[in-house]
Amino acid sequence: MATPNDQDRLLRVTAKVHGMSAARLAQLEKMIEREEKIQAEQVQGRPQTRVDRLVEHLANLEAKIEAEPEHTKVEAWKRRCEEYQTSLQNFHEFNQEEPPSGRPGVKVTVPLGVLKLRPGGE
Amino acid sequence: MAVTFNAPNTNILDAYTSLCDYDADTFVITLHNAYTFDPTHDEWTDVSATELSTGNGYTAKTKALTSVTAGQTGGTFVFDAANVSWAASGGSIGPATDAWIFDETSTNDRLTCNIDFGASETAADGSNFEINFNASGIFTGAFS
Repeated sequence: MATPNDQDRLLRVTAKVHGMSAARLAQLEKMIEREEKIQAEQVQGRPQTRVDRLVEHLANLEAKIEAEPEHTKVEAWKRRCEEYQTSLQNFHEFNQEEPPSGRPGVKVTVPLGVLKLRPGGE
Repeated sequence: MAVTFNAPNTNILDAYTSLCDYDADTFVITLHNAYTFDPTHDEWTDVSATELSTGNGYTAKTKALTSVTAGQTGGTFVFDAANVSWAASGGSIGPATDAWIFDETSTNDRLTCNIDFGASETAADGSNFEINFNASGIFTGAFS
């Protein structure tokens, strides 16, 4: 069985072969792991919730920032991370994404839009 | 009448190409009155004429979606964001028949999707105009 040191060496060699940084490759590995976990949950019939999506995207963006700290869009990524954290904090405090407004009003409830794309064309 | 979701013909292509950067771009939601959906509309200038004017708590073309999450999970693309609301103050907001979401960062402000309220909606002074998205997301896209 491969030890963590073997895995780390293999990761660095693979990164070199593919011409990418070890950090970038590690980021891709993390993304694949998360994707596999989500797919396993879907197989078990557990739908992904809004909180699941926020946690997943927050982890992905934080990994991107760590892997590419000099990227031109890093400030936008950081702002988006702050929004995700606020949303998650609101879920924790209010059990919903936005603090309750306490005002009456018009409420438009939007159905889920479902789009299809044919492979090889529009 | 029921609320319906509409997407321009180009929407799903943008999701799979580099025209929109869903991790970094700013997506804006706007309210419109007397708009009729046309799937060939794909840029902001196609729909700008019907947007509500600034006033009473609504400011034209400025309401950014927050916590946008977009990406593929298990082969399905999901686009989602936090619900939005405008607080009517000093008068009503509306009437409005539609909302548009567009990518303000993209060239020519590419349209992402349209929400047809199925009715004319107005938020009275002192109340909110709220748009609540589906728990599963604003839209999903998959290869058929």
